[in-house]
Amino acid sequence: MDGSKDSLVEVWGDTVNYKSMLLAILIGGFISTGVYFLAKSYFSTVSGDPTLLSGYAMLIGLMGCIASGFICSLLFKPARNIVTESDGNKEDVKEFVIKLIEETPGYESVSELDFEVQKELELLNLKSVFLEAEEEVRARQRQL
Amino acid sequence: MLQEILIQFWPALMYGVIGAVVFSIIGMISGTDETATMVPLTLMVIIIGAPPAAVFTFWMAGAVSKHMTHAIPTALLGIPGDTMATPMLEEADLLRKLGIPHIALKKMISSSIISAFIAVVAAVGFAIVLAPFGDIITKFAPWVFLVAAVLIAYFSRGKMASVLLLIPFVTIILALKAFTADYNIKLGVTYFLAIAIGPLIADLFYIISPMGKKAHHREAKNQVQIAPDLQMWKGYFPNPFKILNKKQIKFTAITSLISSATFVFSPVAMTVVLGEFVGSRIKNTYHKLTTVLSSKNGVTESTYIAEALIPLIAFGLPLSPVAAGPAAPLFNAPPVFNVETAEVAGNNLHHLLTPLDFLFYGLLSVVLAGIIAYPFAMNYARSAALFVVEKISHEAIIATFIGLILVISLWEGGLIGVLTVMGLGLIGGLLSKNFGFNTGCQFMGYYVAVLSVPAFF
Repeated sequence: MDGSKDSLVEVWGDTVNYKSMLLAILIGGFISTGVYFLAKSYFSTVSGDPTLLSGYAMLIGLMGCIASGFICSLLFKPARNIVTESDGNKEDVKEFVIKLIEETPGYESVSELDFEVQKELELLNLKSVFLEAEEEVRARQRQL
Repeated sequence: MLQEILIQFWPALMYGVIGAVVFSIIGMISGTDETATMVPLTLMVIIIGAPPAAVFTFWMAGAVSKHMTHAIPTALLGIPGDTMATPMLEEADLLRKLGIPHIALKKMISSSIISAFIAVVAAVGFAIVLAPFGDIITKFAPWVFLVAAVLIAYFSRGKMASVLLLIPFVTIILALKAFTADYNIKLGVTYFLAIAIGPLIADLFYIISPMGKKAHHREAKNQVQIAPDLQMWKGYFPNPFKILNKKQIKFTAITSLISSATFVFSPVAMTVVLGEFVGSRIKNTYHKLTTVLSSKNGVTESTYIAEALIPLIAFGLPLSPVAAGPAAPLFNAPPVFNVETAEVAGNNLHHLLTPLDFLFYGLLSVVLAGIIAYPFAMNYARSAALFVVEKISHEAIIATFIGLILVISLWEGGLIGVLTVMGLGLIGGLLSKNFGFNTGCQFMGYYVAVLSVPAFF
């Protein structure tokens, strides 16, 4: 169920389709409590420690919650657009690094870092990007 | 002595594995607040009769695992895995923009495991130092809770407002207790769940009203960006000491120790504060981001571990935000466990396990999380993150949590329980969102109502 774009709302930190959400609440409520009550009435016919049996009923009720969640995940597709970030154009990353350097007071160059950290940056193909960015920042500052 | 500790070994191992697996999965799902998930599941383990060491190992292995896998959505998707992950979003976002979120993930999780081991040992040590004062503190418990509540409230976002809000909030809890007593019902875990899920309840009521629906209307689906795939390590079990550099290991150790000692402060606040501390010491952007992020995630582990262990070992009273919230059933789970009050002697993990038990099973928990959550998070992070975000809609998560609060409140108090959870959840949620009176304050407010007020009046 996709739903029209008019009925998208943000609730509890993420986006949902309004009607789907209402339905999901009903499903979650009914299935969980239904399963719980069934379990409870079954265990009331069984002999044993009442606390333990009541605990089992709660356990089965919780499994009912998960089942209702599972059913809802099948019925309602996420209101999300998943986008794979592209591998990051070298130039974009460099621009971003320049911005970061300019925003950091007292920035320390990568050439001043400990050897193992520099090696890390090299493995990530970022050391050259940082060095170039630093050079550009210095050039811009000389121009000012 | 070793024999006494080992009697409970097999059940503890089994429950520990279950806890680690279950919470590794839960940690991956965004928005799964620690209290809302850990309290009911731990309570269940207690009620079905697991021995004390097994209950403890279940909880601890679960907490450590959850705070490892919560790094996955945080680093790869920019969505916080749970409440403790929110302070790390900013750094994680910047590392994603640099194109290296997998490094962020690697470092966060490696720091987790190191910090967890240190915290278990440090917490037991601090607790043993504090234990002689335990009796005095227990005697003055009503006062101690009141002072702790005021401090925790003052250091929340609401500051003085939160401190003052304690008054009406405690009154509301007292009113609810009187209401349920009228029907001969005593609620416990329902209150915790109401507080933890409050924000959801408040949000739901709001968007059902026309003005709320309009205010929260969204034009488009949520844009979720996932970082591309980049496997950068060999083998199933990368060595955390090789992934972090020397400075990062040093800061992880230092922040772990500090946050273990400051066990009364909000774990989120400690994460933020210690992150600032570490950040101020490093001047290179890349090194700063990776070091701050790894230290912060380490602190999410050490705060949880210390804030549970120290009150458990030294006092038997939930004198920290974690003990009052996610670890509450370890202290108070009627009819199996109960906190010491003026009328009743205490009977909970504090009385049933020795400090050495806690040390042994605490370390066992971290080992289990290390075996189960750590390699899982390292090797399957991206495919797991994609699966969650593509297949598990927010509607499904809401359905599950609505079912959860209904089942628990019905189980504990029938219809009266449901009314309580709705009412308290709504109020708590509104206070948390609009006044900065967060769930930590609310948990302490509950304890003031339950322990301090009866002692004074």
